[in-house]
Amino acid sequence: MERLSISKFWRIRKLHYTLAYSKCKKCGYAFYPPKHVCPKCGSSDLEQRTPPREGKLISWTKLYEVPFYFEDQKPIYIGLINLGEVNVMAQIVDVLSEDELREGAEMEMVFRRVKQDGTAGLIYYGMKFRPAHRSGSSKQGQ
Amino acid sequence: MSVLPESKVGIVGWGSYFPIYRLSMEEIEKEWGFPNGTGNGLGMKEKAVAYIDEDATTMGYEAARNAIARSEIDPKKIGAVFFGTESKPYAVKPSATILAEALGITPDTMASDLEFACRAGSEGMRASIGLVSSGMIGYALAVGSDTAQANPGDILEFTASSGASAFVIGPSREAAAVFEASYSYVTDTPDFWRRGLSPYPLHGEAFTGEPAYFDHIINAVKGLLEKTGLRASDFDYAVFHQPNGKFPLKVGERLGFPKDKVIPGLLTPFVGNTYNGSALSGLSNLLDIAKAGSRILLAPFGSGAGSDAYSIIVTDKAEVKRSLAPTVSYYLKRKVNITYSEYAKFRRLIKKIGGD
Repeated sequence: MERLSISKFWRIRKLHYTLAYSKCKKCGYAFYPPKHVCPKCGSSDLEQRTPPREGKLISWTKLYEVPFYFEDQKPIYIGLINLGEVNVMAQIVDVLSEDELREGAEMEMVFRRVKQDGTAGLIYYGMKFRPAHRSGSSKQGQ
Repeated sequence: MSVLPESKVGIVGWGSYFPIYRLSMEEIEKEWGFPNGTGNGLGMKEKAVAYIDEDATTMGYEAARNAIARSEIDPKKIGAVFFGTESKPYAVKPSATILAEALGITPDTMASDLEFACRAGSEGMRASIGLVSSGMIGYALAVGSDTAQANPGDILEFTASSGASAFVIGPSREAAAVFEASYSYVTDTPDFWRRGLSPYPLHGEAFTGEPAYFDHIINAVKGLLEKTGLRASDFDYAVFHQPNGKFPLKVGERLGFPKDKVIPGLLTPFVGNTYNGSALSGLSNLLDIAKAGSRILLAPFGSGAGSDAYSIIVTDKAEVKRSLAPTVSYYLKRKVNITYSEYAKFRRLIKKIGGD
């Protein structure tokens, strides 16, 4: 059993729960995951922003060789998703058919288990994505 | 009828969630050697199955997110999170705090997990009515969510399923549906239970019917009718706990609610018994479709045993709020059928060395 770091996860739980990103107040560069210093201009004058819950698929791939905590889910889909100012890479779940994974397809965040530390350790939750097929869904972030 | 505290409070947002996977009754019949039609005999067509990375907490989050979207309030205004489940991912560690954090409600809030078999989410709803009507808090979030377990091959396996519903309870002037009255009826009746380290629940077979389900729901509803002076004919819809597709119709008949008032809120034939999500999802579906002015009877039941009866009146705000989140019918339509072996893998009935 792997011992995952409790404190490491806990410190950035809001990032896992909302995919919050940083935006540089000096040069305007937005990046995920957030850092203490802007990777473009070196400024530490940054603000944290919450992305919308829905985005567009840029590209995807299918993995048959996966980290051990995805072993029971393989093959898994990994997508690059545009969430306005930033792009994030995440697992895509609830794919009924690969036709749903065309470029530009609407994706929405879903809250799922990401890892768990054996049968007795902690469960780590975070955001994944699924194809969104509806109108009138919530567009607001938190 | 005197003015009850319930009337100050209503449902300002509601939402549900069901996973996309469905297991047909034939798959279970084939696997365990039941006669063809056993599942249909329980009034069942198929049941919803959560994926490997889903649990009561993740489904509760999805339902709550939909409820908060419809409430149109800042999640920070929610002063209590009650999470009703009997399939807690942790035996000790609240799921309510995970929901509250991920939904942006923390830290200025109450939060706890409640357990009363299938009725805990409803108890959360009644406690929320008390807290909001007293003015102690502005809004409360009551969630019912379960990945219901069943001993493989047990008759319970035909119905035990996965799903969740959630309600933001707040002032009646903002509500899509207002509470008129509520009544609870509880006794020590051991019809269904799960001991501490047991993976699956056990039940008293036929004992789950008369002395448990029927007695408690009938007494809760009668208590509500006596308290309010209302009659069955005053209600447009009735939603009862839905352990299978037949009990709700039977209890409705005994209480004087014809089938056509029960069927619109009866979801079990399509998704199974989602335990804490069961009657509450029926209510959620009615809020998706009912006209303003409709009066709904809601009567969840939990083994062990108890039932709550609520009288709820839909307002004109329901129609506007419907489009703010996906409806129950959206989740019923978006589905894919799986085999028994996929179901066994998804619900971790297959144990591996080094697995989790």
